[in-house]
Amino acid sequence: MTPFEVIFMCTLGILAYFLIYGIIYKSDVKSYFNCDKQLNKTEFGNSFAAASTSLATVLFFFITLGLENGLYILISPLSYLIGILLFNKTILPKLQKYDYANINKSNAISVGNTLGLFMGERYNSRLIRMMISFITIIGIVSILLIELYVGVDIFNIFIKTEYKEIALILISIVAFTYTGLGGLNTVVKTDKLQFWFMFIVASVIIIWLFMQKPTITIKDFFPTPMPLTKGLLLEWPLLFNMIFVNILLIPSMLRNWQLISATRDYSEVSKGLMRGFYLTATISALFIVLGILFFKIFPHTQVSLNGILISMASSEDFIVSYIFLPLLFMACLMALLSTVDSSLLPVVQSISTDFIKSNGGRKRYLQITFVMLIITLGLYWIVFKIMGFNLIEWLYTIFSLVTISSPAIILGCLGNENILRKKVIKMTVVFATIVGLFLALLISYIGNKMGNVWLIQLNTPVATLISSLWIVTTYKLKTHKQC
Amino acid sequence: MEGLLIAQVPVASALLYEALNLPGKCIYSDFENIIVKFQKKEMSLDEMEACEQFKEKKRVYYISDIIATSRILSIMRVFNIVPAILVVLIILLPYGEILLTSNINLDRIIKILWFVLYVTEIIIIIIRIKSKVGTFLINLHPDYKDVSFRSILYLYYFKK
Repeated sequence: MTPFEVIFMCTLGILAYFLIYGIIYKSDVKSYFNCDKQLNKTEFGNSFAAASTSLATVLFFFITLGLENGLYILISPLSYLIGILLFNKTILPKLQKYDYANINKSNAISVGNTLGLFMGERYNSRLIRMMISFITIIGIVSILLIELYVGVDIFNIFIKTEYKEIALILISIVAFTYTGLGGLNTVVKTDKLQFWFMFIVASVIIIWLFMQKPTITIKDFFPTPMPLTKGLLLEWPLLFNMIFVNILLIPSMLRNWQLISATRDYSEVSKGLMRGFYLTATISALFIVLGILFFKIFPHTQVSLNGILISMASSEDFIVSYIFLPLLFMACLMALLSTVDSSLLPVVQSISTDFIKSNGGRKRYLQITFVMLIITLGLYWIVFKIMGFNLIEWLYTIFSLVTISSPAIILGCLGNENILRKKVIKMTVVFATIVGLFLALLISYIGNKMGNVWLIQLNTPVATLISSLWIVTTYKLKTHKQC
Repeated sequence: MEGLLIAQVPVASALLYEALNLPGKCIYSDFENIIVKFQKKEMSLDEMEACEQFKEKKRVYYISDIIATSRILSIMRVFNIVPAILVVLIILLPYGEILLTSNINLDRIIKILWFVLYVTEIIIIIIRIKSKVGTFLINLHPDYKDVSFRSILYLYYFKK
């Protein structure tokens, strides 16, 4: 039996396992969004970390940035920490004050609360509710697409390149089925399994790699810092993009709002976010170290995830080809599934609550899941096949666009309700956000045309900064006028 | 002809019929001969040509496999999800041969799946026997609280 056959069997096993899990533990209406019980900080943290550790991130950290910049890439999770601390200190107390999780009392039993609904309530505006829901859904669907784009490529080791979309359809059907049937309860439980599996696999492979006594120096993990004209540990645009986007990402991620609604205890949310940060930072560090060590021991490996897999398969060492390779492949598959399920469920909740305004029901959730499956596959086809986007362009162009909605969300949480409900503020929020969105797309388009990665990386930070200034200035002027 | 058709998918329908000795087997007069020929790769040119023609008509295989699946499930009287998924995999995987690279030997994979299916069935049978024995013991002795082995062992070795 070849290593590829072992991987193939493991893939079948994992997909069957999740399918069976979803079918056996299918949720009823009350438990679909975990409204019948509360999540604790451990479940919150595990779910947060599993959703954050995507295959795209692993690939990105593992191969490209980790090799070039060593452990300095950990600035990314550290900037996430700043975002979490700010969220815990400023927004979370307000959510507690307004009792975000129970504000939708009429529906709380079946659907919980959503970001869109909460913002609609704060601004007393249906338009803002729709706009914020739409932007955050676009953001989360883009994460889904990136995951599928990366996920499909790793199947090239046993599926012919011309048929790789079959893997995409199969993975999507499995992930959408178990998420659609199982709801949040299943997603949280599978997230726990997926996170710890990735963690243990990465740790075991790192221990083995260290046992091979690679010739490593401290410079491999901490390369000589670049001159200040170029950047500070990382190149300026990348650093700026990472810090800016990661800080603003916490309030604009639908997934976080869904978990808060399901937790309902704000001190548990605060601890859960911190736990999620520690776990995300640890697993990111593990994968960076794994990548650096791997290329030291197998220097002729092609610098890509598939290169690593093929290099491991051709190794004469039984442990590498028959144990570590299937384990690593399964860890990648787990990373893919955990991000796909965590991205899909908030979308189902948001569509059913913010757009359809339904009172829930499993049939309705399953219908939305099915429609989302079709939309996701269709978007994949349009974006990557017809428009011909590549991963990096898509990553910088769309992924960070979700943070455009952050100024409106932060103001909605922190602002005075009487002022927020003034027509001028509502209109400013809508226009500034839409203008920000188009500005980011325009910068990205120009960057793509000029082939300038710096410009692409700065698309959202610049656009968000401009829309924030616009919103805050109008709010301050209105407050001043009121006084 | 039907036998020939089934034999074309050796790892799915044919093995399925062969292994489980389904009553439907006797319908196909030359079924066994074709299986043997297929396995030994001793088919005549005409037979090979016929097989190639059938290869073009995947839908026909599909229908025959669906019939096989429904039969196997009804004969096993098992609607447990694990064997059901395994049977579906065993039946559908041969169709995926064209999609897979040469790194994968599909025959070997399907043999392993058959093995897993048998093991799963044995486990299911053991669990059922255990459940029956447990239920019997609960009826027999009021101290048995549940059907778990631990409970039975506890009562036998510690309590008594």
